[in-house]
Parts: sequence; structure tokens; C-alpha cells
Amino acid sequence: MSDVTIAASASAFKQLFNALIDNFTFSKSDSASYGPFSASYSVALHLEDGTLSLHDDGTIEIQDVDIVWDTLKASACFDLPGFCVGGWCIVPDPWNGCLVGIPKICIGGPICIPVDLSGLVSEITDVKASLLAKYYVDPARPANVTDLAAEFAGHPNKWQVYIDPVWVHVDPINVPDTLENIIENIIKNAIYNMLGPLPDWMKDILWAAIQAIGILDIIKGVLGIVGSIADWFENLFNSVFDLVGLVETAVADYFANKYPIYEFEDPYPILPASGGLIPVKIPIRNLAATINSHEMIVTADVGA
Amino acid sequence: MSTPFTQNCDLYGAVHENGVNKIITHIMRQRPSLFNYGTADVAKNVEGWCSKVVVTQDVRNYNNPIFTVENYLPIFGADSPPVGLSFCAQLSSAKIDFHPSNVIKLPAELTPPLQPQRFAMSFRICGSIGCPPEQEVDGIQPTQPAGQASDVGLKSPPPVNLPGRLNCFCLDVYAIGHFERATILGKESLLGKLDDMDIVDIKPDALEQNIICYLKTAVNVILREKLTIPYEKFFFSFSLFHLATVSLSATPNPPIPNNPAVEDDQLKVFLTMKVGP
Repeated sequence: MSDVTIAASASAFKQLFNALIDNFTFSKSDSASYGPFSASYSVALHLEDGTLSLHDDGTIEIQDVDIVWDTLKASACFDLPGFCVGGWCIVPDPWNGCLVGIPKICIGGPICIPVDLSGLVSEITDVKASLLAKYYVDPARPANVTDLAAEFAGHPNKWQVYIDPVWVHVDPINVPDTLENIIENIIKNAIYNMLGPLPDWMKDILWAAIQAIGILDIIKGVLGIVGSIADWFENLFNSVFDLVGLVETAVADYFANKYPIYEFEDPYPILPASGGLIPVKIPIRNLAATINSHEMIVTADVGA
Repeated sequence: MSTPFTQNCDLYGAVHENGVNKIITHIMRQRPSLFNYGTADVAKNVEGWCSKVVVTQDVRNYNNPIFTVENYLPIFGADSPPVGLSFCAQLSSAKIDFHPSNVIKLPAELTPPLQPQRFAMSFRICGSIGCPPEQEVDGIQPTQPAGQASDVGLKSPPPVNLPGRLNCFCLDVYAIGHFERATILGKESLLGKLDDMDIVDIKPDALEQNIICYLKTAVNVILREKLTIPYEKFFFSFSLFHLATVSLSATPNPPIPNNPAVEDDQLKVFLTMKVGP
């Protein structure tokens, strides 16, 4: 029999799990060139809710955890091939020339489509994990010192119990179809800016002409878009940026290495330092953590 | 499948007597001044100690005292000058045995077998009063009696401390006790309490009873003042203790008849969790 046994009921373990979920945050930004276009992204997220079940085979299953994307922004930039529109006379001068005309405008060059989907919620569908007890030696611990000196230096050894994922499944980000209209408006605004200081009514006429040329098809061609622009951005988030993979890796790393659900110093202080007396600390050995459908059980021995 | 530890509670903690006995040894080696008492001359004289003291290297590295230095034992009636004798008192070993008893063989005076929910303890106390040489006693120069001196605002004469040779004895002490819950310094804690005690081979009985009274009181006071176990420590700072939304308290009876419980050679604690907003 072990010297020490500690057990936490399923509902108590749920509280530890809630703290685990509440403390998770992830943020990242990056940019890269992908041939005909370059893209950048900036994301930040936290987790909410989720259900937890404990199993007699020693595993934990976590399901339906919301990924709340506090920031989910991307931008795709490319060179719009040059073309000219306008140069028409819409009110001819009966005697000679043109009374009111649309100037010929040539546009092209760099254009960026920024997308902001902040507030979107996606989901971690399933995490299967077991418990893992680890012994942590602080890499900053001074060499050749006693455990007590290491503690006084702020670098004690620790026992830690982690949730060690076997797998983490994250649902792909689902870009709403409404993004198609938003992106059209973004492109329209970008083209309007390219048209320079013309009256709005004139820009409206030119935009109609540009649409007639098939500007969206031109852009799709440049970016290699086969389906809808919304689908293309969805692919950009999920596959090109691999946000799904990044989140899966971050969650797995957080559970397995960053946030122990149970942690204490070794040797463990049982009487505090007092009046110049050193603390009394007991060495803990053979820490093990298991789970069944009722509870988490941690056992350990007191070292000699 | 066996009954879950947390069938009637949210957090369960148990420590086996083997673990507690190792912990006792660690405390004795790391906080020796809690177990060794004597006058300054005794504390300095390692060779004269009644019992060898084993300490960790950290105790030496940080210059922690091995003895708690106490005042010299006063000789009653001597006040001009006051005279004190050196002494040494050491607890040299201690062991605990949780019900059912299988580590300590209790003496008949403690009516074995050990009753349910009780623990047994055995410990060895060694001590001595320093017996001063006669020439030291003869060398004491009487002064103005202290009472008269203080009446006129004069200082009492300085005490004369007489170091002496220790002639050590050891007592084997057995005790039985139980654990209680107590709030100590604002923290829910476990408190060990001795209920009865016996000292082997002391006569007359009244002398034994007087020594037992002193020792039992001393142990209970030290347990209360120095060796209570806050629940958080008992559970090795289990993470639930640090969650602001969770409060933990001892699970009542029913459903837990004994909390803390001393059974199966273990000390067990059962806590119930309340989750706040």
C-alpha cells in the first residue's frame, strides 16, 4: 500500500478541468508568400464550456469545447493585372466633341483583401487523454545545491500531474457564406480607391463596367480560386495557415506540458520556515496518477 | 471493483502509518530543536547529550540549533543569588501506529487492544539534571536577599548557573490518542490528541502519574502549537484548494461517520466541495 492516497471525485475533477479550460489562451500571427499572393493572419482565442467524462479504462474524454476566436483576422494581397476602363462620352456635344465623358482610367497593382472574423466560434470536438505524472527539475536550478537551497533560489523540483492527450480533434473553421458579399464590398472599396478622386456617380458607372469585365473572375484567377471566395478563405484558414493543426498542437502541448492539474514541490514543505529555522520538507517518491469512472486517484510514497 | 474513495465526499486523503513514521523521522532530523531541550552548557556539549541527535546537512548549513536552549532549572528558595542547574531533555525516538494496532505493543496499563479510531504512540525520552560538583556549590557567595534589594530599587543579584555532570536516564513512553478537526490560526486543520499514557517501570505510581501528567500535557500543547496539519498540507496542496470558485469543508456525519478516521492503518480525511459563482 502506498504511504499517501489522494482521490478527487468526478465532480471535483470537473472543477480542475474547468480551471484548465479557463486558463487556456493562444495567439499567433504570421505571414508568408504563396506564389501569386501573400497572406498574413493574426489570431487569438480562448476556450469555453465542454463536457468531461471519466472512463474505467483510465482515460478522460473531453468533448464539445468551444473555441472562441477573440481575434481571427487574415489578409490576402496580390497584384491585380492592369486594365483600363472608361474613355466614353456619355453626353456628346452636338457640334463637336463631348460635353460629359467618363475619363479613361487604368487600374492595377497591389491589392489586399482583409478579412475579420473575430468573434467566430468553432469547436474542439474530442480530446482523449490519460493522466501522466512527471517529475520536473527546473532547468534554472543552480548546480550542486541541496533541495532546500534550490527552493530558496526559487527553483524547486516539482511533481506534476498532467492530462496527456492521445488525440485532439478540432473542427475546421467554418467561414460563413455571408463573407462572399463582404469580400465583394471590400474589393469594390479597393477598386474605388484605385479610381482616384472621381465623383461617386462616375465611380459607380466605372464599377459597373469593371464588373462587366468580370473583376471577380480576374481576382479568382489570380488567386487560383475554383469555388467561392468564402470557401477559398476557409481553405486559407484551415489548410494554408493550418490553424486547425496549430490549435490541436497548442491544446495538446498545453494539456501535456504547460498546465499541470496538480503540482507540488518535492521535497514537500510540511512545516514552514520560522524564526531562522529551515522549513521541514519530506521527499515524495513514486507519484502515480490514475483515473476511473468515479474519481482520480493519486498515490505516492514518503521517501526515506 | 472496490468502493470508490470518494463515494460520499469530493476529496479524500489518507496517509499510512508507515508514511507518518517516516515523516516523524524527517521532522526530527530537520527540526531537532523541537525535540531537544537543555541549558546552554548542555547544548554546547555534544558529548554530554543523553541521546545522539541525527540531523540533515541543511540543519548544519543554515546553522539551525539542535537544542532549544532553556533557562537553568531554578533551585527553589535560592534568590540571593538565584541558583540554577543545567538539564537535558530529549525525545530520541517516536513511532505511531494507527488502528488496527500492528506496529506498537501496548502495555497492559493502556488496555490493549487499541480501540477503533485510535492511534498508539511510543516514544523514548531521555534526560538528566546536571549535578554540580560540591566545590561549585560551596563557592556560592550569598548576597543581599532579592526581595530587600528590589524594595529599594536595586537590581537582583545575578543568578549563578551551576553546570554539572549529566547522569542520563531514558523513559519508554506509550500513549493512545485520537485525531480531531480544529481551526488553528484560521485554517481547518487536523489535531492529534493524547488520551492516555503509560511510562514503563516507574514507581511509585503517584510519581508516574505526575510525570505522565506533565508529558501528556506537554505533548498535547506542542501538537496544538507546533504540529497541527492544515488540510491543505495533508492533501499536498491539491489544486482544488487554490480555486477561488471552490470551497472545501469536512464531510459531515452522515454520510461519513468518522472524519478524520483512523482505520486500516491510515489516517483518513474526507472533504466536501462547494462551488461558488
